[in-house]
Amino acid sequence: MGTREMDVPMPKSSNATASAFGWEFQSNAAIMLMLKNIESASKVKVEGETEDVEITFSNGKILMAQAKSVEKPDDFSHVKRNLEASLRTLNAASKITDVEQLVFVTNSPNPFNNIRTMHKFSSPLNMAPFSELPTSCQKSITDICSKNGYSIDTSMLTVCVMQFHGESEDERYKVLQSLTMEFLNDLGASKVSTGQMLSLWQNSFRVNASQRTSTITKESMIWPIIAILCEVRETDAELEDYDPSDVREILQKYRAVINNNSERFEFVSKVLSDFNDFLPALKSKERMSRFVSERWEQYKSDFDLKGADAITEEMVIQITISNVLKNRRVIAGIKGKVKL
Amino acid sequence: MRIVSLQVNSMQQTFLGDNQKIFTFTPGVNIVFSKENSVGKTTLLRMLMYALGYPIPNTRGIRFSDYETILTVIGVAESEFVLTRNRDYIEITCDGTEKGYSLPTEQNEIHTLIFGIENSEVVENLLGAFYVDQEKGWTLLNRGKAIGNIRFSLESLLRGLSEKSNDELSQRLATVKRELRKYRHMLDVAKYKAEINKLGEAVYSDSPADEIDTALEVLYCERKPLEEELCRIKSVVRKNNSFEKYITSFRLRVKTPDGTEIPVNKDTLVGYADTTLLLVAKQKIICEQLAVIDRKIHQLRAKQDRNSMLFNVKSSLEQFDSEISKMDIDALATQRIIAKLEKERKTLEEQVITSVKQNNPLVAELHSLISRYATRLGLDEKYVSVRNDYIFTNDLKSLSGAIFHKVVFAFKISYVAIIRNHTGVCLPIILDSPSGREVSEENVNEMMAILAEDYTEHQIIIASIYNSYDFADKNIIELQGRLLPF
Repeated sequence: MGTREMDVPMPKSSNATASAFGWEFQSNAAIMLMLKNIESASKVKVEGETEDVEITFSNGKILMAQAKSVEKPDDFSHVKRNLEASLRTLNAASKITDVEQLVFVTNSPNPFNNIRTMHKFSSPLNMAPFSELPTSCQKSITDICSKNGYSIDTSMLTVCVMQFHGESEDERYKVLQSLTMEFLNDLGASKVSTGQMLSLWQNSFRVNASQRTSTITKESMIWPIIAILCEVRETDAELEDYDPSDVREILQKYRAVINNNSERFEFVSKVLSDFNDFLPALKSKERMSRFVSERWEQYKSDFDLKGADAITEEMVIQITISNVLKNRRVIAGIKGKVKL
Repeated sequence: MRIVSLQVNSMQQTFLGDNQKIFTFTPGVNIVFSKENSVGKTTLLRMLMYALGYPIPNTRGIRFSDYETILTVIGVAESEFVLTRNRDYIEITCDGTEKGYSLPTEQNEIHTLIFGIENSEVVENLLGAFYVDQEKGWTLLNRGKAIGNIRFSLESLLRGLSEKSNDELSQRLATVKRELRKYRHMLDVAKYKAEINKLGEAVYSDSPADEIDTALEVLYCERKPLEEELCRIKSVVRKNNSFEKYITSFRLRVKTPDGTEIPVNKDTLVGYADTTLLLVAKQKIICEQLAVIDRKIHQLRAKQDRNSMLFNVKSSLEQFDSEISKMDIDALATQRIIAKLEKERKTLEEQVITSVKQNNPLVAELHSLISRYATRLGLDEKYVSVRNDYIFTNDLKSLSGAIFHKVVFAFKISYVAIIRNHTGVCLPIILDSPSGREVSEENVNEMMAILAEDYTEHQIIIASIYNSYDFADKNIIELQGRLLPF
């Protein structure tokens, strides 16, 4: 966070497991907040020592969150202390010029230690702006602020409860998995494995866990999705005109050749430029199909297919060109959807 | 052929500039020097050979496959070749064209391309001629191992140089040698089996260590294609970088319709950033998959270590015995085959040597070269016989340390000379620690004087703790601290 001089020592976990759990919650909360703000966010920073999660938006504005976890969901003995500590840090954060949102994130189903308001936080993921909190919860916050002289603009404040419990990862990551799946579906990337993507994001934080400070950009979160979508597959819509068994055989034998050319900038640039000039009036699908079938021969010199017969050579080149065109569409599509 | 430079990159983060080291060599004399031993002189010379595509054994603390090497050499027809080696894959750029080779299968093809020598027997014996390793190099005279498992055979070299490659004969000899090695292993197994039976040790059931071994094998199988894919992607990244640098080097500018001038570089090339980010993401995904597998391997290995510390030393031996007892090998029949093959090998070897010696002017030429250099080094007929076939001598026992050292030197530089005379290729001469083995300073000076006088066209690379060798113009490459600080 920007104004460290205002920080007061935080209550710290006395054992390593509790601290590891806290870090895991914090990094998963960071992923959740990024997914919730993916269009406008540009990066997320996690500061392990202070339990800060800082999301920077592309317009330079900042969302500052405090992530406080409890290891046992039915243990409410520390929740009030967590709330007080978070408000203290968020109060300090609210003084930074570009901060426009303040979020208190916790995994306790009873963040105000009040049985009567628990129902408000019973769903897997709750995001309640201050104005939508039950009156007693609002009062708890204003009481803490007035007692300590905090001047938080409550219209900036959101209380978020994210379920994050259980020994098994399936249980603990349920909310994240569902958010990730929803996000991938919205992107039209349902063929990307939710588990693979989530663990890739989580590991981005784990790599720097020892330093306890990590910054993950939107680019580094999104490009792996693009990379998976850009893999050439026999089920690709662009290859539906070919016999699937032929495609399977070609991919088995020539995948490296196809990938090499699909990733070689010199070749990609040549194909895309040629395609740009090719019958622009045609509809996208027909244009692509005709470009591949009419122009593939002009790329023969880019391929070194020793020992391949003429039919194989034609198919390898055509599949590569289709893949280059598909990749361009995928990259533009995803970047547009997440405003990358 | 001469070496221009060697760049060593850490395999871990090839994108960063600070995890690489470059060694530059001049066309003449280069002394790889350090005041003390064990700072990496031998490693640097070996790395040069590794970068050239040879299967070179690692030195202590440095595993060559952990690095990417980029070797620039001037080869046939004064062409510049850039060899980029990543483990068993080597990419060669020459005159703007790139081609990839797999090692060790295409090793000869690579060396034919660089040295411009077609005859495979000559190509296979080049290293033993121009490179003298610290360990085996100074004890190799005319046949044996030059370094690691790279062999040298004078007969084979001369056969190749005199275009007398008797393919049928040499192929049969190679087959017989290969078969002999296999039958000998088989005989060892038969003997081991007999020993087990004699001791009356029972057949044991499969141990739990088996399960770990199988799981590890599966994981290694899963790991290999990922590692290959990572190498492939890195190679594409490199190609894209070179292409971008090539385009940027022209410092082109283009004009937009509104008259704005835009420089052509990686920031303005349409799609370049996307291609780069896509490849970075692909690498990240694979690294992640590799990390998962490596974690599992690490866990299994830890388990294996724990087991072996407890009682599994015995169980793995039992397991081995169990497998051996299941084999059906006839020891007597194997011995008979070995005896027959042994006889055939001797006959074939004699035939091969005879075929090389017969009416071959190269034998006399080589002998004359060796004798001349031996005489300059103070070795008389007592050590180097006047008979031409002395060059094929097997009698190495009569030569003491310092004498042997000088004889080896005379032979080696004569090989380089005869290769130059008959192929036109000026090989570099690479000597690791020529001042060893109680050779007097006077003799070392004489060795260097020979190089300075007769090998002016050759690049000379010497690794030594002395830098006072008397050469008119020498490039000192001083090693300090760790050879590779990453």
